[in-house]
Amino acid sequence: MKRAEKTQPVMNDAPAGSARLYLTKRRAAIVLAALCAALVIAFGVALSTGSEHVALREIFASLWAKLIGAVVPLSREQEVIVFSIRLPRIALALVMGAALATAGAVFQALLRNPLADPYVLGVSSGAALGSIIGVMFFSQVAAARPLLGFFGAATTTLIVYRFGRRDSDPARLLLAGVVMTTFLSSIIVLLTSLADTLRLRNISLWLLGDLSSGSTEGLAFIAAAVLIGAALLITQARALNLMMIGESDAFALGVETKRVRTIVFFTASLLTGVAVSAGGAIGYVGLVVPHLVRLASGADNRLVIPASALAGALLVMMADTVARTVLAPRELPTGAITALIGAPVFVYLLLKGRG
Amino acid sequence: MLELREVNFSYEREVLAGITLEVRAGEVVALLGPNGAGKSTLLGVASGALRPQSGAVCFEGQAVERLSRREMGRRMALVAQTGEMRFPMTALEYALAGRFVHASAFGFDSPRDVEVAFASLRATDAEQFAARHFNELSSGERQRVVLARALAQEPKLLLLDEPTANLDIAHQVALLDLVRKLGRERQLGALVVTHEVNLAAEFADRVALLKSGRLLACGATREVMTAELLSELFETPLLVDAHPQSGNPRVTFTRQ
Amino acid sequence: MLSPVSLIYHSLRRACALLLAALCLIAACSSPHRVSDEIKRQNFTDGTGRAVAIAPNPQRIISLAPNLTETLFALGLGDHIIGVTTFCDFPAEAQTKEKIGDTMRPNLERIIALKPDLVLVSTASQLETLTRRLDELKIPVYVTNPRTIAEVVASIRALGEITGATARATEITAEMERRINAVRQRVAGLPKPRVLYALQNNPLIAAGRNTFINDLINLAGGQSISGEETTDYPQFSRETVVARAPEVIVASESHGHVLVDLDTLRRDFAVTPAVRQNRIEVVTTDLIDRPGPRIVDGLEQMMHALHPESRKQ
Repeated sequence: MKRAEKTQPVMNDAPAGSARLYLTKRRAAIVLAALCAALVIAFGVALSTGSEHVALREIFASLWAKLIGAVVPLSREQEVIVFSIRLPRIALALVMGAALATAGAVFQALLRNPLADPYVLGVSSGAALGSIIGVMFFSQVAAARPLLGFFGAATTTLIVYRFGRRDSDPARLLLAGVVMTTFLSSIIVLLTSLADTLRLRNISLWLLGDLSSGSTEGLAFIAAAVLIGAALLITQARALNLMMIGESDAFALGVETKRVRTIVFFTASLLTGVAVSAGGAIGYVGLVVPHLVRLASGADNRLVIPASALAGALLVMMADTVARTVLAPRELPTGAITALIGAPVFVYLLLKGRG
Repeated sequence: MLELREVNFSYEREVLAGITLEVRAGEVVALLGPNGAGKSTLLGVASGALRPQSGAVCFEGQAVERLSRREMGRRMALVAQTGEMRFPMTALEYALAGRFVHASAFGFDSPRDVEVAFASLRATDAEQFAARHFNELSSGERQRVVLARALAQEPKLLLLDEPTANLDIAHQVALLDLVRKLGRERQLGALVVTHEVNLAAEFADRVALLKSGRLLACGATREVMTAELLSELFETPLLVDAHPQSGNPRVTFTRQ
Repeated sequence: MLSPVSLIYHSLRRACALLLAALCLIAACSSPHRVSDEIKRQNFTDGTGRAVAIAPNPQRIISLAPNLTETLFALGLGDHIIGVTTFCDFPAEAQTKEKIGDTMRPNLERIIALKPDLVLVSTASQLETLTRRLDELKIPVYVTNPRTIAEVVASIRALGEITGATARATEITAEMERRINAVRQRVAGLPKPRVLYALQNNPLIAAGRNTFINDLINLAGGQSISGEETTDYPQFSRETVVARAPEVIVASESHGHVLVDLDTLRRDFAVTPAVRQNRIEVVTTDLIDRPGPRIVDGLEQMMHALHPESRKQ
């Protein structure tokens, strides 16, 4: 490789994490591989943990048996527990975590505001309201819930962005988001207390997240939507890097800012809407996960976006595991666990940032 | 290279009227004028960020509005005041941002990209900051990194908006010296908006005087920077003599 | 001719008299309960241990819960009811009574305006603030708090006592106890099926130890798989449901509308004996959930649900 003698020696040889100069393929690969490994381990833990004990060895034997088409060495009940109850739930947690963390990461980059996330911007509440309306008035149509969830998310994003965005005043956007969240939440409470059929339905489902519904039909659709959405956002990663510097800077540096903004908002709203319609508004994932990823490996979105997806999946899966085992056989709302973890971490990040 | 012809631009009120201006390859053109004259707007029109109501903006004969953002970025680079960066980014990454116009939409920086970025940092005397975070740098140091970013684009034309605003005098001189040197060596053109009239006098080949959206005068430095014209431009009595070393105009205020 | 001084003196006297009369009138109108104060009040202890002073034979009773309304009607005190909640739908005459809000947020002003001499509250409504306010206004509030069927019977007896309808109360409670014992005998010796009572699906809400449902299930000869939970209505793990293999799943209906989607239930718990043997039973929520005289109907309904053979009688 031709290189002038005068150039700095610390370049591609910089080990991952230290003396971070710029994002190399190698560092990205290492970080993502590490996260994948952690995810696989956590998946194993989640699959073997629950309110009913099933030995890990037997679970792996059954996984293998299922793959090769042999007889599964579990009792019928155990098989249902692991594969029909736990597995879909874990899959949902993975997909939701990935969706929310990715949406949060790109919102923060696009709005140049480290405090943005789908929850804080009111997008999750919009998605929840859309989903509730879908359930209340269009319960026959299966796709109504995620579709209306998406519309709710997209509409809220547009409104908050329109009224809140001022480059000179980042607090304004947050304020608009908070106003939206409280407004929409009160509408949600109003609807659920008026509607008879929903009177019994737990409000915590929507406002704190609940992954216990266990329906697998929607899961494939949701997973596909999240995968496509995340992939699309990764293609915008480099443009987002430039937009993090400033929108007029990005424009001058060759980014079609209007197009990038549209794609990113649209996709992030899709991700949020789909995730929330599936399992309620789980908070702090979109806010805290990208922060932690940036802390560990820099703000380059080419790494932050996929890493956030993996780390978000990891967090929600773990939080869900805790939620369904710590007080077994009772279940806690997953969103309560993510809040319990996320809020102190967030406060810590805020304090650290100040110094 | 860059040509503005009878450009009019309004935004709720008339900001620019009848602007005809040219920047040729290898020359430095300074744009002087009081606050509110429309200097930054002119730069915006030149870079394609603002679309004039009438008139033409052409780069090497091509209408600027026909070019994509990428194509624009390969031709001209903007150095303007940059806001607070709320995310951790090293100076090298910042300079590497200039390589976007030459790269694929996704994908990692090629060794050449990194080389060019480093060279740009070196040119602006900012190489020692390469590993440091942009936010940790002083505003003057940041300014140099911004220039490096512009140079990394390998443009043909530089548009600079108050590039010396936060620099100490040594670096002010160094920056404009660099711009002029690049002009000579790489045939880089430069349009510099500045308040530093004396620096403009030293480093600019031609000077344009902008007052209330209209060009008062435009031409060679020594011809345009006269006491009459400058006093009229800034609406304050000014004295112009010759710099003892270079012979270029030297502007001083008077108190009459 | 009267002197100016005496004129003033007379007008002043008249004004004072008028003022005094007005004051007396206001005083008389603003505290009607003072009238009943003259009648000797008796002291009772309500279901939460509070001391309540009630005048005998209250004529103006407000009920803040459907079960209390039912009990009052059963005790023959329907005419004495001056206010009920929007949920009080049984018997039919209850719906003709004046409504003072729902069980969660009854209208305090309305209650005061109706000038009751007894207000009945069920702790299920959790109206501690309301109870305190009424206390301050010296309006007798009697709170019932039955947690088991036996306590329901006792509370009906107590309500009979405080309202003076002791004869009718004795009749009703005797009949209730007879029917409860009949159920006990009928299921004695029968195998106790494991039962899941699903209050709600998505998320799954079951009934814990201190609920009526649990008591009903036990009395009806069953065994709730969530009967150990200290929380009244916990969100319950599906894994545990599958592991504990309930033989009967019970859901409730209200006015013909089942409160849980049965198809989802069948799908979620397809592996359980209950679904495999098609033992999903539905009971009427008003019967099993209201701690009133019809709870024995609920008990019998639960017995039929858990032991189908008991239906032939």
